[in-house]
Amino acid sequence: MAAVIAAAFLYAGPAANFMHPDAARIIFFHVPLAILLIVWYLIAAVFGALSLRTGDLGHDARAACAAEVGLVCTILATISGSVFARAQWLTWWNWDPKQIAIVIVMFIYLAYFALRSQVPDEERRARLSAVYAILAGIASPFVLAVIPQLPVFQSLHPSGTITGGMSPDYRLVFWSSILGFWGITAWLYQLRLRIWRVEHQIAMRDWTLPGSPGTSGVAEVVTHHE
Amino acid sequence: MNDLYWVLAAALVAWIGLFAYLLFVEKRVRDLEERL
Repeated sequence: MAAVIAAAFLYAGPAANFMHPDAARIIFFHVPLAILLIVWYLIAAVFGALSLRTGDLGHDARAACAAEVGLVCTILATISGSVFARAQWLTWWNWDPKQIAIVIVMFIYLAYFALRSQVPDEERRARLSAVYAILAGIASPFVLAVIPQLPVFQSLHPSGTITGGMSPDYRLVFWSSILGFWGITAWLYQLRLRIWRVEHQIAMRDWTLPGSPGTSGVAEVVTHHE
Repeated sequence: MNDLYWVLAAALVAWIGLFAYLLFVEKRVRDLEERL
């Protein structure tokens, strides 16, 4: 990734079709985050569906971790997008359709975590948040990528940049950047999942310690049978 | 302001943000593994 940052400054040249050609290099940091946030929300939706189908709480944890990584990407894409807006369009916030869309998506996923925090029962929480993750995962690409492109909205965002509008040097740095960001966010996802696993192990251990609710529950059942 | 400063600012936002989250998650993993 250090190579991507160096290449953004030294290898990729100014982009001709931007108001400020030098500042176009911001897309190497902003756009990969904007793409990956959709990818992580889709991963959350897939694990949500698996959780709903199998009842496995591990899938629910995977969905929540993926959504959390997606939310981090959303926040960083919003801030770096604001820097892009300041550099290209001279104001930090333009109420551009894509800027509004990313804030809507951010609130959708803040609500996902608010929902999770308000349901203490693990299985109920898994079912409710799985349904939410599926619906939000389907809605997010539409809100972010389809609706702002409709002719009724006039977006300042350049269109078709990724699908063929880049010079070879830009394409190389851009896709290397996506790969680098993907690697780092996948690492963060793994670490976040490890937290869940260790918390789960601690909860299981505490449950089975002498005097804990788990063991007293077993003792009561045994006494009852005797 | 030189346009390249804005590029640097966007790169810093992305990297400091991800790095801060990484440090937070890493510390939480370490704390929990000590408790285990």
